[in-house]
Amino acid sequence: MAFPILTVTVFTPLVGIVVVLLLPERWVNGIRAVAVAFTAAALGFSIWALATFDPKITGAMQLEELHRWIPSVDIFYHLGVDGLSIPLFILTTLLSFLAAIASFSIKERVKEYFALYLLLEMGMLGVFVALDLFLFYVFWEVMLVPMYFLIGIWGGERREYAAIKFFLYTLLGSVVMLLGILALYFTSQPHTFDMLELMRQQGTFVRTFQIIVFLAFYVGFAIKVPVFPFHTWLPDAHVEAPTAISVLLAGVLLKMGGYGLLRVSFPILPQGAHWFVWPLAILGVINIVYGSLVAMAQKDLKKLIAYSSVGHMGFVLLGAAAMTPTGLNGAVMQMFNHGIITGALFLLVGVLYDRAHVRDINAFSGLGVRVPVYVGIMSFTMFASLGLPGLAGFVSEFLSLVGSFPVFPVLVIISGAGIIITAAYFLWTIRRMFLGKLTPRWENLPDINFRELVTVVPLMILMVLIGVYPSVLIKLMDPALTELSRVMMALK
Amino acid sequence: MDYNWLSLSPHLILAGGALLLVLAGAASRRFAGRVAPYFTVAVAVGAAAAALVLWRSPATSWFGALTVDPFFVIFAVVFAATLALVALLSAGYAPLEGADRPEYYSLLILVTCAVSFMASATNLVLIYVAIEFSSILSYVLVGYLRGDRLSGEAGLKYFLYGAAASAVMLLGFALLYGMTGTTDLAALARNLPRVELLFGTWGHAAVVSPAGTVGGALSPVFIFLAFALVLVGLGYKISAVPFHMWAPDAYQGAPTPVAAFLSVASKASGFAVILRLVFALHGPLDLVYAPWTKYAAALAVASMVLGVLVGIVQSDVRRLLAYSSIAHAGFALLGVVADTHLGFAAVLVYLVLYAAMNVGAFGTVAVIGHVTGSYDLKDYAGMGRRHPVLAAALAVFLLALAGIPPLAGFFAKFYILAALIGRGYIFLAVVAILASVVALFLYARVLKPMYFGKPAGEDLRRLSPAAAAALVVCFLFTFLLGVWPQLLVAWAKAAVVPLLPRI
Repeated sequence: MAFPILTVTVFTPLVGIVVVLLLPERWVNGIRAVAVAFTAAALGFSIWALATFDPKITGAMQLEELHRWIPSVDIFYHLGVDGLSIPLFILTTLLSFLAAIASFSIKERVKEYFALYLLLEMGMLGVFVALDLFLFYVFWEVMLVPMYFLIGIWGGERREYAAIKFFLYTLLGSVVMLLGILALYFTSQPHTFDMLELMRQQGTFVRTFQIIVFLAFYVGFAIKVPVFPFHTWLPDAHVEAPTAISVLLAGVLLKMGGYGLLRVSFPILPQGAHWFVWPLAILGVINIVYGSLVAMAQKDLKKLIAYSSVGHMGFVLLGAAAMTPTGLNGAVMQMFNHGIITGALFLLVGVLYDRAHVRDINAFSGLGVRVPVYVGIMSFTMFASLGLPGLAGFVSEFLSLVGSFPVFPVLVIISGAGIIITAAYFLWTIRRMFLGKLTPRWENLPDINFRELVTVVPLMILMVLIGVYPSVLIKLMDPALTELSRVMMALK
Repeated sequence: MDYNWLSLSPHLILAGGALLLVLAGAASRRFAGRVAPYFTVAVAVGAAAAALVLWRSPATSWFGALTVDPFFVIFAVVFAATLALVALLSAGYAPLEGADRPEYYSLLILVTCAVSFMASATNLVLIYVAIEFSSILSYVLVGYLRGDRLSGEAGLKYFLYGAAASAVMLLGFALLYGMTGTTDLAALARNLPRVELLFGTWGHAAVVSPAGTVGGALSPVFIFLAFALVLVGLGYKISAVPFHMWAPDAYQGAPTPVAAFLSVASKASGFAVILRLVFALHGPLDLVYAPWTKYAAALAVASMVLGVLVGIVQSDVRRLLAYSSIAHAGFALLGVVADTHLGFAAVLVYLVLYAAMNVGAFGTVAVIGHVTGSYDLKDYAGMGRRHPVLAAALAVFLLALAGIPPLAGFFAKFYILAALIGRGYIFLAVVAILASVVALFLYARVLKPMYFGKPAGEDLRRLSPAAAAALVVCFLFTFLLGVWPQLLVAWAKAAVVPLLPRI
């Protein structure tokens, strides 16, 4: 039997939880070190998995693990990765590691914090490698509990409201998805929860059934993405969550919706997906334009970035709806890039908030004079987010638009407006906050420190690397996504 | 073979243990009082072992009145486990310290004996006697805190409701006997289709028997009436809406470990009788009265919806858990509605998993009540700081009840939903999942003050070892059975399938 690298990666944080719980509460630094060590170990294991991963193999999962779990109900413990999941898997371990370092700014109830944090990481990792729908659902739900407590205990002023809103919203979405999972189970012959087996059987599902089940899954995934009009939980959760949790929320949790769409809904329910292509693309454009417009109107910096996420996820939907190889590559790449860029933006907002204790854009002015390094990094990241060529965000948005132009020319032209608005609000924010005359109140504001640099710089390197040489990522995922596109097109 | 003493062994061990404890109490009150909880655990283990021995030798004896089979064994083990856990929880429960301890434990053992009879009875007379037996003992246990006004009130309320409900149920049994001329379930199943029905009134009935009618010409209304009346008694036992009103008062007033027992074992025993009736009469019932599942579905939906909605506004944790248990009764009832092997097995699985997490939840509440003296939600503020372990335990049990994977409650709900979807009851499944989303809000009402609130008092560290042991066992079952329910599912299927060979 091969070494179960995926299982080891997924459950490394669980071991970390046990160790953290065994440490006495007053050893704050010990707990932090252990937590970071375990997230680093998970990162190391995931890189090992990446090293053994061969992107050229298509149409099959790699590093597969398959064991009987609850045979009476045909439930298996089935893990595996392909070109679609491995970038997101790495993104999860990377952001979890960096955000764990950023979590040093948590001063209260550190032990509980890191125990919940590691539980969250385990859930996120599991979602991206589970190939059995029951297992997928278990990981999907496991995340909700730590998230609820992390927002509710360590969050901002309206944390309790934001926490329960997040919990109820996503739970509602996922239980509807559960009905879809059960419907698939009972319709398949022989009954199965296995995604690969369901993909093989998709031809036997009638069109009406596919549409209904697609919609059930869609509710679960759309709430996570979030797609308009299911996005209203996101600004509350993002704004109230502590910095590191905002990073994971934006960087990883939002990707689960898009991932689920491409992993489950598209290949298992292709006719449902084709039926829903136009609504999906139009919703994507609404996300892009509406999200950007709302972001422009925000006075709170964190809220602005939260709404910019809504816009950026629109490109994922648009690229996915096109179903062309370029579009799918753009969609998955946009998920990865949004993870590193918006993750970095939330980290940087946290840096400022830790010092100033306000996030109101209008409260700042001329910061460039006082904290030049911070302002440089923040502007750099904002440029990446608005899609400046040479940085990561541009490549994926471009691919997504190029890939969907042959299918939805008008929609692509409309979404161009969203790009302009995005550029406008980021540039406007830079002008308002960083340029001009320094507000006297901030004359003693300290610049970014070493620990904070450690969390942000790796992400900046990735932004440049992917922006200049996107093949590192495309090589990894293109074969799998081209195959997915081929399958989808063949079933039109 | 009709005097099959072996098949009575679990019941006899329980009854004998209870009597022994009373005698010991008469000989030396101090000694008996001290060992009573542990003696009770030993009796429970003995009864469970005796029941497990019977797994491989199913038998109907005592002139068809008593059936021991895997179905009974599962219930008997759940009852015995609940008894043992409740005994351990009672050991550290302050309000009971002044009470007559040996008698309290012997009553607990006896009520377990009574519910075991309910799970094995296959004759209407024995069913009725067993229900009355368990009810009367329960009234006494609920009102056991003599000095406590709330406890006395709860006992009286419970008694009045129970007396009315069982009288109504007895009328239902009498109607069945009048129509079919028998109280034996197997004979009832044979005779029921031979009841000659008059068509026209309420026009539900589909077929009338050919050969040898019994009971004369009856309107289908009578059959409806008979089962409706029986359902009143059983609905009361499982505390399904609209027969639930006693539960919040009784759980609030009773010693909290007793509430744990009532909410788990007593409820499960009601389900045992419902399932026995459905198993025996399933085919004939479909023949003479097809829409029976619709009425069960109505009860289930009403219980889930009302349970969670009314539960949300409670401020006493025991009342909140009472409404949650009403909602859970509704959820489990959906498995009966599905009316398939999968559905009935799902009910068994649900009851076992529910037992672990609900005894845990009530047990933690009892322990917290013991150390803080309060059951008010306000006093749970900051419990996560004041006693991290207890708070974490309660959080786990509540999240399990809410159905969050990988804890036990998730698989329980999942299995019921699978039965519903498998049968094509999409609407019921949707109602069930919406109710469980709202139920999360109900449990969050306790989680929120515990973790988000400011501590309402100094740190607590005291925890009785007996209660701690009980909670650890509940936790292990809640977690392990949630992660790996395979054996439980296999056993539940093995218990259900032989009883229903035809579907």
